[in-house]
Formats: sequence, C-alpha cells, structure tokens
Amino acid sequence: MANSKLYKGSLVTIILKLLNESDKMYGYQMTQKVKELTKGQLQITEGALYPALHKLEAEGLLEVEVEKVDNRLRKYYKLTEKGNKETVSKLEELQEYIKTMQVLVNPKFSLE
Amino acid sequence: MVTLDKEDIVFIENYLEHSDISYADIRMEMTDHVASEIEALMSAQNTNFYDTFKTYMITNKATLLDANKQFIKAADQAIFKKLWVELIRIPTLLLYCTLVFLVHKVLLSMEVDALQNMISSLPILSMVPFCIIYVLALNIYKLPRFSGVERLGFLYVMSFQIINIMSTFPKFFVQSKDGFLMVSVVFALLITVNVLVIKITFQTIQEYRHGYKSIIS
Repeated sequence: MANSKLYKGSLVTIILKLLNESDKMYGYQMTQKVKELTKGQLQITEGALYPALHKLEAEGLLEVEVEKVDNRLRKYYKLTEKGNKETVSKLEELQEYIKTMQVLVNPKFSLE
Repeated sequence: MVTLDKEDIVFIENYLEHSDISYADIRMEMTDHVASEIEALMSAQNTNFYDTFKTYMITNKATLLDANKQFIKAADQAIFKKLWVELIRIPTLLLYCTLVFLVHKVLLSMEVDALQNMISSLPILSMVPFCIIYVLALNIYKLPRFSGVERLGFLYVMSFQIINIMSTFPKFFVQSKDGFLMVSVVFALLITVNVLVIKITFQTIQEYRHGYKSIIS
C-alpha cells in the first residue's frame, strides 16, 4: 500500500466501507475501486488485502460466496449483520480520529 | 475487455501451485486476482497472454508469495482465536466442572496401578479421536486442500504436545487415592480441550462446505 504506515491502520475500515456501499465485492475489485476513488494515490497490495479479508471473515464480520465467473472461481465477500454494526462503529472511530488529528495539525481549524 | 480462456486460467493455477501456493482456497483467490490483473494489462497494452504473464510475474511474484505466507498466518490465527473464544464460554466452563466431577467419580473406582498405566497411554489415546474425525470428515465431505482445514493439523500437533506434557503431571499425584482429585482436574481439562478441537474441526469444515459449495462435489 502506498504511504503504508499511515494507511495500514485504516485498511479494515476501508474494506468495511467499500462493502457497505455495495452488495458484494471480490478482492481485485476492491483494489481497483480504491485506486479509482483515490485517483491512484492509494494502492492496496494483495499481501495486505487478502489476509485482512480472511481475518474479518474469521471474526464473523464478512461472509463468502464462491461463484464461477469468466472460466474461473471468484470469491465474493459481503458484510454480515455483525459486519454492518462494526462498519458504523469503525467509521465513527475514524471520524473521531480525523477530528483529533485536525485539531493537532491545524489548531485554527478547530476554532472555526 | 479481454477474457482469459480456460487454458490460460489452468496455466496460472498450475504456476501458482508449483510456486508452493498449495492450499486450494488461497490459490483460487490468487488465480482470480492474477487473471483479473492480466486481463486488464492485456486490454490496456494490447499484448498476448504469455508475455503479459511473464512481465507480471517478474514484478509481482515476490508479493504473491508473501501474500501466501500472510494467508497461512491469518488461517492459524483464526483457528487459535476460535479455540480461545470457545475456552472462555460459560457452557465450556460448565462442561469442565461436570467433567471434573464425573472423572473423579470414575477414578475413585480404579486402583492406583490401573490409573498409572492409563496415564502412560493417554497422549496416544488422545490423538485417536482427532485422527478419526479429521480423516473421516475429509473422506465424507471430499474437501480439497483448504487452508483452514489443513492448518487444523497444526492445532492437533500442538494439542498432542500439550497433552503429552500434561499427562506427566498427574503421575506425581498417583501414589495414592488422595491425589485423585488433582488427576481429575487435569484429565477433565484434557477432555475439554479435545472436545473443543473436535467441535472447531466440524465448524471449519461446515464453513468451507457453505462458502465453497460450488466447488465441493
């Protein structure tokens, strides 16, 4: 992932947010979506994405579905009910973090 | 947009298998990822499959192999997390307490010599249910080499070692019937862990059967 250290802690939130906005997604699709949304600023590598997806699956936040697409098998991920709740909490957590960082980095901003 | 044909997909899958990406679920996901990348590159650069594949692998093979290691690590962590979650559940604690009571009752009806002999054979005996369930489950459900199932073998080996170490511990208390309560506490713990490992094995197999029903015959 580009700018890896800063973004690494937010990978789970990014995945949950992407899945929250669509019914189901597969790994490669997520990497492309992030690349497209950030205009190439952020690129998620396979080494970071797939283990994170498997961890979320093991925690019961994601469920999987395997389908045959274009001569191969494709693993789709979708949020479970627990995953939906976790997405809300992770997004709130991230927004709080961003606010705190803005106060620290740009104190004037917090006074407005 | 270019779509790879079946031979190209088989080529990618064989290449990954020969690069030590041996677990079916991991390889399946990587094959799809690599194929999607190659299709996008072929469409953008108007190149053929083999040249695109070669160029892609030169730059990305190390990342893919690293991803494989991370996958296996994630599978191991998931198994141990399941075991920990099961261990701290109230039903498990109730099972454990009941077993302490029952095992103690049974042990009191045994002679010291008979119990000493039983303790010596405990590590081997404890492996029997694991092996039977593992082999039967794989044969009945005919699962391919899935990471979550295969890594359970690691948990079995760990359990065997723990049982091996713990089975030496009660020997010190089996000099007379006075130490039988302590032996019951250890025995009940071993049985509880055995039951949990068996439960996790079935849970994992069921998860794969549910998620991968399209590739399991």
